[in-house]
Amino acid sequence: MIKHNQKILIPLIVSFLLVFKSFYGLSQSHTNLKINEILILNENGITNEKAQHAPWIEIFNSAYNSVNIGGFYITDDPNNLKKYLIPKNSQKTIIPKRGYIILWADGDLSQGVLHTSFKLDTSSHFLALVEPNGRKIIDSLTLPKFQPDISYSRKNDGENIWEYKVNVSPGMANSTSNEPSAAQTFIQYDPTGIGMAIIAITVVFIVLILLYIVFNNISKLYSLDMKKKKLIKKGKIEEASVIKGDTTGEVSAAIAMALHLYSEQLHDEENAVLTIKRVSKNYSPWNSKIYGIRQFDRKIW
Amino acid sequence: MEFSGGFFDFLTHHLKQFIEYTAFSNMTIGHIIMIIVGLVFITLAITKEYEPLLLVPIGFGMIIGNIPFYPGLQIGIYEQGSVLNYLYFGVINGVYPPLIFLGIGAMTDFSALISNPKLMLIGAAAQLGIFGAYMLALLLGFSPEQAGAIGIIGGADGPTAIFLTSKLAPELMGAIAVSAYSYMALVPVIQPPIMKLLTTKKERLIRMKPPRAVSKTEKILFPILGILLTCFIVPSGLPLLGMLFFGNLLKESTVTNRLAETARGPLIDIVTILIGLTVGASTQANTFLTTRSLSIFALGAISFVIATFGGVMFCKFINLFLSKDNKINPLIGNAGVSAVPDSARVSQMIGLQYDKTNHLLMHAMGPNVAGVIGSAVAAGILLSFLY
Repeated sequence: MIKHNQKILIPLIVSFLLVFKSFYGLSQSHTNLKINEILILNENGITNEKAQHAPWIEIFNSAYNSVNIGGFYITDDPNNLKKYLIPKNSQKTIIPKRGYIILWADGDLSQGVLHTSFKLDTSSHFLALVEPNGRKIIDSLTLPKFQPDISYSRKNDGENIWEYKVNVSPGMANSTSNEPSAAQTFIQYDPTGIGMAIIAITVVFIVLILLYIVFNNISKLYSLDMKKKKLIKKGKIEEASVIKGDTTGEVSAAIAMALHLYSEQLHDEENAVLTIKRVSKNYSPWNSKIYGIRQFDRKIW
Repeated sequence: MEFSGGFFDFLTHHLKQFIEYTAFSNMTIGHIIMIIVGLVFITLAITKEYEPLLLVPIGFGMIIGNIPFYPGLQIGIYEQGSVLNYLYFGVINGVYPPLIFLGIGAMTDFSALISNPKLMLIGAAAQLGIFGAYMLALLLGFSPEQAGAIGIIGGADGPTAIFLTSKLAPELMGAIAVSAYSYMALVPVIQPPIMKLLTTKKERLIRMKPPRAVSKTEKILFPILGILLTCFIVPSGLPLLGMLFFGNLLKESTVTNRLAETARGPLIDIVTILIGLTVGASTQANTFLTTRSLSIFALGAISFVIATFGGVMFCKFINLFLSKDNKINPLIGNAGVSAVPDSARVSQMIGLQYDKTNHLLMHAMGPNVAGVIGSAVAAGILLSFLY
């Protein structure tokens, strides 16, 4: 049965979690969404639902959780941040972790939720993704001049360096993976591994030194001497004098052993008087064999 | 298929096929060697009691993994869709090690460390073995990822080694896991000569101050502060350290006894069975018996030696700055290489050889558990640099 205070506590926790979740969800999304690649003069590239070569905008979710951009705004007008509200309640607007979404900037809303109400063209000079409150810009950029089938994209997904790109990559990673891996880069500068050894051992030491410092001080805080000092400060000298130092594990073990031995030895000396108790076996029908065994009629056999 | 000779032809054809499917027909010398190694592991575990909880499943896994079979029947551990392959998923994706760390956390008493926090530093010094082996592996021509995975053998922590290898060099999983667990079992053989070599008789007789009693609050604070301090610096160690400290909080809070009991009992037992068996089965002769595996074994042994050296020498170094009453017996330095509690037992055993009343076990448990934290942190660093 749930107690009264639990009845209050549970809704409180649930509401706290809901508030936290919504706050956390927003904080995850609004820092991790990036306008990643744009192509305005799409002449031979990908096509929309009506097989038209339309301008497109790629948005990248750099987070490790999926984000729904439904309810966010996208605009090409710095004076009207609420120009187009991306519809809510659609599965299509969910960007998976480290994933991409393509918005068609073709001004044709009849084609679905991923089409904006405005059309980007060479006269467009601004693009922004705006939070659901319609005030705070998540990511924006000034559009440069476009050439046919050449996109303007971040060099690497989510990074701040922009470049023109001939090999457009809608819905894919911007960087081609010819770059060396983290390990290869590391080994290039540290072929013997001495750098790694120095850095790593230093970090291990820092971590454990931190723990050492913290617990060295905590042990002082919790030591009985502190209590003693407090009592003396308060003028309770008699009470303070009663407090002794820490009992070590060895002392505790010795006391426990002594108690154990004492309790064991209590029965060591017997009084050496033997008492023979008469054991009588009274009749009981419960353990009688007569009632325990089925009696068969021998005549049948 | 037509059988022109009738029933007899049909029978001989299927009999021949059956013989082709038997292990005898697919047997190679490699398989026999690996089965013998498996039997040696089981013998060592049963007769010498060297880490039986690990060596029995690994040894038997080796036998399972090296019974040859006709390929394509979804039997082998590397064949997609086989039962063993499903169980191996937990190894190759690093699922099992954090669960084992949860159990370790729930069974570890950090009191020795909390009562004498300076012992934590020994746990850091003993991680030298990891990076010594890393450098040597690079020298032998291993890729940096492989070198990192090989180096972690020096941490003397099986789950950590499996976790890091699954991320950096899954192709070396069998060799690294078996090497790590084998050397952990051989700690009582490897460490004593190095300890004796590096210490004087006078040092071996040092009596350390008995550890003070640790309050419950301190014990509860340890996992909470532990995770905050370690994982804020090395978040990549989160899967291991998070589970370790969580398990410890379950134990020390004393209000979640059922969960702690499960974590340190049935859960860790189940995962140990699965990890041991699948790691053993992953040592199929054709993938395991290579010169590369032999190099890994050699590097593993060297890393253990370096780690022991690091721990013992650090104790001697730290003694230079400590007062006469607070000196550390360098025989506990070897315990800095996790391998809980075997390396601590070695300290106790060697200590008793020189003074029958000098019990070092409790003192050695401090660096021992610090070694677990240290090796998980080191794994996190390797992961963040090389992954």
